[in-house]
Amino acid sequence: MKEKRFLPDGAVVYGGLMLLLLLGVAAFVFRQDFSAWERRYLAGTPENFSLSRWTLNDDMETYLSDQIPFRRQLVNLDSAAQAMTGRAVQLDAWPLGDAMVEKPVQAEQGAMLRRVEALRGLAGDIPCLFLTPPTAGMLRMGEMTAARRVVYEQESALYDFLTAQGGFVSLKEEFENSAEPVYYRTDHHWTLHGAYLAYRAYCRAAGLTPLEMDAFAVTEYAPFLGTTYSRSGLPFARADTLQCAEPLWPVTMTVQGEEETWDHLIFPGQAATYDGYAVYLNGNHGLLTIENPAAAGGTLFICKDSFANSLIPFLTAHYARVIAVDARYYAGTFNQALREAEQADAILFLYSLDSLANDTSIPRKIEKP
Amino acid sequence: MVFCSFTFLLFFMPAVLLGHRIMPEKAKRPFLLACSLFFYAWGSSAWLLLLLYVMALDYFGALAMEKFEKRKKAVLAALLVLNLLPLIYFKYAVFLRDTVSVLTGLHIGMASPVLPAGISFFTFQGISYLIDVYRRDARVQRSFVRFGVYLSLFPQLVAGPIVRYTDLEEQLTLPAEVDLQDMRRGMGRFAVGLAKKVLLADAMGRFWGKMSVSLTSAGALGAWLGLIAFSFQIFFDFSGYSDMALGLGKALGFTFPENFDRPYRAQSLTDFWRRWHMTLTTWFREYVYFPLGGSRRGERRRDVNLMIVWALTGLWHGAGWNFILWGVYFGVLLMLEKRFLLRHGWYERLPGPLRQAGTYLLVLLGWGFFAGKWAVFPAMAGLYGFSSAQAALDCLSYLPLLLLCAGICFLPKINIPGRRWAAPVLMALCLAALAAQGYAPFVYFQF
Repeated sequence: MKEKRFLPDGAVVYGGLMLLLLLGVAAFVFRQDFSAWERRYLAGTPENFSLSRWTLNDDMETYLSDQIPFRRQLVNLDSAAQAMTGRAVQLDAWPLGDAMVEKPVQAEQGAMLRRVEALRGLAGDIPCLFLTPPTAGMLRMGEMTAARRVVYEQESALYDFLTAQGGFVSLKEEFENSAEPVYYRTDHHWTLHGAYLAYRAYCRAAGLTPLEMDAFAVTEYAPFLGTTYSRSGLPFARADTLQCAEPLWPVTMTVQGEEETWDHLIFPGQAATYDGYAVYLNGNHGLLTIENPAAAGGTLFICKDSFANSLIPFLTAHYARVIAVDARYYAGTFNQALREAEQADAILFLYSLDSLANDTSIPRKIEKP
Repeated sequence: MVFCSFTFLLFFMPAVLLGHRIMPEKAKRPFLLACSLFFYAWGSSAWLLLLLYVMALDYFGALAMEKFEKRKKAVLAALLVLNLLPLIYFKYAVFLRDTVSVLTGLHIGMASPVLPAGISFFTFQGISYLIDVYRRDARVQRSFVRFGVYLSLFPQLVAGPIVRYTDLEEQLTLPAEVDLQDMRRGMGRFAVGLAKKVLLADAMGRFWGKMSVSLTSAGALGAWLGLIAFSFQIFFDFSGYSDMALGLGKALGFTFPENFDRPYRAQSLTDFWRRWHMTLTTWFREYVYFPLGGSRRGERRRDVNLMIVWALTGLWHGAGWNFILWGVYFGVLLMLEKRFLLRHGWYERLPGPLRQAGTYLLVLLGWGFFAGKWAVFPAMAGLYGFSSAQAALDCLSYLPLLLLCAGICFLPKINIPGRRWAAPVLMALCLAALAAQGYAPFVYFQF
């Protein structure tokens, strides 16, 4: 006996199969090279593909997985399904209230200490400071369930252990007491306010007098959806407003390997791209030099990750030359960059807890004695 | 090619089902054979020769048995050896080499062959055909195409169910017309099977992976929940594949035997093995246990037969001592169950849920052997403490899905309203999971 159906069997069978086939064909017709929301290049058509070389099926799967139509919606659907079935902490960034925070950093204390000592050895006799911000999750533990809080408490203990070492500038108290948000909701970086608090703390530790915020021209860019948003894969998020501080005094910025010289540190054109955070210093560079001839201080040499990008404009007020090296993009070693700088009056190691624990490029840039 | 790959879902399946539907009657079987060979060759074309070898061997072997009627026993013996040789070489040679090396200290230089997908399944199907012909339970198939379709039909080629020739003999000779309603039902069952695999089994596998990678940090909580997750993974993985196979078979006009009947609701181990991988159990019963004498020659002989069958069942699942131990574990328990537990009426008087829980517990411990993660047992006993904070958080995050799986496995079947939308919704969720998380081949492919 025929069952009563909402749609005729033929429509379901032919429609369903044709739809699947169309999705497959569309993956080849509407191929894309770059996924802006994921911030990554997508797989290209498997090379040398032919029916007689069937060993390429893994390449084909990667290609179809990357190029399937509505990929973003499908990833959103999967992330939402995971979150709704209790597995939010299995996503690459964890939803917390109206924000997405990074997973807690897990590292062995001894291994981290060895890395810190190696960096300190690089400085030799030059005065050096370490600046590592507490993570957004660490600061918002009070909003979490007990099970989540426990793992962030471990991260917090790691941070306390680290910042108890000599030369570290702890930002925990300052950040915890801040009335304004110190982290973006959708990005792992600190806000302009967070960077400014870090700048003040650095100045105190380095014996400098920090400038007030009104010494800088503050600009805003919205909407800004950052890295934790895209890594979570979740469909909905309250977008941020990106704030930037531009020095009001003349500066020149040069990037190793590029001929152009810039007279500004903020690049508004980047705000509309997939990597909005690149409005600071035009993104990450291997080696960057910023000069302010009017500054009283000498040369500040910074070994850094992207957290430094929003802090560097503040520091240009105090140093005639700021040299910033990013291990991920710099071909040489830190020692080499330091030698080429000829003179450095102070060194700042500015790394997030995650970089300090997990960025394998950092130890590779330190020459063995 | 695997069912949960985009290549299969977006190209192969729709093209084959639509092609089969519009194909003229005479061309349907050759079309299916060609598609099945293409399916098998995708990704490992070298193994196609092996499949064709087994196909030709069994097809011509059965004809030879018919021709040399008086010497058919010898012909059958030779055919069984020739069938089993590739299986022994590809699946067990390394195991045998390593075992001999350990026992004698000799170093045997031999390359480790890659295991061809589904070799255990199509070898067993071929053997079932030969034995059925030998016993005159089935007639010799004279059409190479029809026999080829039986042995290589892609829905059940690489992970079962193990279809005995007698199950399909009649269907191969009938007209290959497929009703649209059957196609719809078949596609619906395929979607359910895919969801079992992609949404449940893979998620449970990820959780078990997290726990088993460091059982010292998983502790008792992680080890118990992890092993329970593994039991769900292996069930949803394999029964999902079977659902997909049965669904595709239905959409192509074939009815394969059921392979699972809610096994974790079993109330004894004998009951469990009547519900778990039923086609394999039937195969061993028909072609090993009964020929050995079954239970007709007294209790002691029955026990010996049981141990042989279960050691072989373990070995069929994998070339490793953990699999043999797993098989022997069930052999011993089934023997004890038959001798003591089921003989007296008191066991039957126990409450059903208690019997179900006890059976599941024994099966669960068996999965510990199967997984070969020996540290799971001390971890479950609490020797590594309760749990680390990270493992506890992972356990908590997977708890809703674990409960969902437990509900599906342990509770009676319920009718869910709005089931007509289940297939498209599940299909969309599966595509989403595959796009976001990549695909994982089936656990049972390694057998």
